[in-house]
Amino acid sequence: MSAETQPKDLLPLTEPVFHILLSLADEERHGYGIMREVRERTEGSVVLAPGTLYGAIKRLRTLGLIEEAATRVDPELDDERRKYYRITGLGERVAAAEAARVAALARQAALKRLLTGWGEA
Amino acid sequence: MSTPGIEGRLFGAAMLMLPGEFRSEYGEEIRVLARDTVREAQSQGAGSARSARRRIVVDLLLAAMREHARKESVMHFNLAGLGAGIATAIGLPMVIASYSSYGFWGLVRQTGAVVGFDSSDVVVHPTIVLVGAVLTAIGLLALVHRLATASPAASSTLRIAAVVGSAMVGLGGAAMFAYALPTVSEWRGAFDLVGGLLLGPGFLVILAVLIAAGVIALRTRALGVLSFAPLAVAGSLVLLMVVALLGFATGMPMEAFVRGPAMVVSVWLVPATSVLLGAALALTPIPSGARVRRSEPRPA
Repeated sequence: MSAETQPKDLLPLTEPVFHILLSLADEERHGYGIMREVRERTEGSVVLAPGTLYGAIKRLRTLGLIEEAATRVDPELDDERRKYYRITGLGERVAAAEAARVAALARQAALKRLLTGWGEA
Repeated sequence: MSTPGIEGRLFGAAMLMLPGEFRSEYGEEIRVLARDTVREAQSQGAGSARSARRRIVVDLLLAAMREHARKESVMHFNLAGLGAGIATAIGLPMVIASYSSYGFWGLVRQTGAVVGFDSSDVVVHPTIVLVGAVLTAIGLLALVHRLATASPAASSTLRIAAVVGSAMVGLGGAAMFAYALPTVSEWRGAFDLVGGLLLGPGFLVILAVLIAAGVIALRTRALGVLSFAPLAVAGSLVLLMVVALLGFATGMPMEAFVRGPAMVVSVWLVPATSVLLGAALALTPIPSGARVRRSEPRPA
C-alpha cells in the first residue's frame, strides 16, 4: 500500500470488512474473538463464518488496515495457533471515513423521511 | 472442527479447495475457529452443531471461489479473446470430427438439408478441413500471444509452427479435394500422396505446439486457473491417436471401430477440451495489451 493512499480510495467497505475494523478499533483480537464480538454487537444479525472472516482479514492485511499483533494477549491460556490482530492508523482512518459515508447516506434518507428517528437528539 | 461423519469429510474437502497459499497462511486459524464455533453450537444441541458445520462448509466453498477469483488477476473477459476462443473451440474439433465421426457427418447432412446444399459433394469435406485449419491457426496464435514469459525465440518458433502445422492440415485437405475430383484422375495418386504426407505431420506439428505452449502456460499460469487447458487438448489428441492406432492394429471393420465407444469418447474429448481452451482464451487478455486491470488501491 503506497503512502499516498487516501481512506476514500478504499471505500465503500464490505460489511464483513467494516465490522472487523470496528471490532479491532478498541482491542486486539483473534479470529474467534472478532466473530463473537461482531455477533454480540449486532445481536446475532451478522455472524462471520471462518472462510469469510479470514478472506476479509487477508485483504485487510494486504491493504495495511490491520496487522498481526506483535505480542500475544495471554499465551498461557490460549491456543497457540491463534493469531491476534490489531487495527493500524490507516485502518482507523478508513473505518472513520466509512462511518462518515454511511452517516451521510442515513442523513439523506432521513431528509426524505425514509429513516425516522435518525439524527434526533 | 470436531466433525464426525460426512460433515467432517466435507470440511476437509472444502479446506482443500482453498488456494494453497491462502490455506498455508490461514488454514490452521480457520480450523481453530471452526472448532470453536462448532463447540459453542454443541452447547445448544446436536441440531445446532450440525447446522453450524454445514454453514462453515458452505462458507468455505464460497470463500474458496472468491479467493481463487482474486488470485487469478490475469483472468477477465475480453472480446478479442472471445473471438479467438470461439475459433479454438470450433477449429480443431471440426477437422478431427470430419475424419473420425459419423455423428459429425450426420450433423453436416442435417444442416445441409436445412440450408439446401448437397453435403455429399466432394467439396464439402475439404472446405470443412480448410475452414477448421484456419480457425485452428487463429486459436494457436492467440494461445502463443498469451505466453508473456516465453522468450522471443520460443514465441516466434511456436507462431511459425502454428501456422505451418495448420497450413499443412489445410493443404492436406485441399489435396484430398483434388484427389476426389473426377477431372484430375491421372493425378489422383499424387494428390493422395500429398494429402497423406501433409495431414499426418500437420497434426503432429499442431500437437507439438499445444504441448510446448501448454507446458509454458502451466509453468507460468499464463491462462490463470485454466492454464492446463492446452495440455488437456493435447492429451485428448494423443488419446484419440492411441485409440485409432489400437483400432487399426486389431483389424476391426472401420465402421464398427469408428462407432465403438472408445473412439466416440476420445473423439468427444477433443471438442470438450477445446471448449475449455477457448474459454481460457476468452478469459485471458493478451498481456501486452492496452487494457490493464486496476489493482491498487481498490475498495476493500
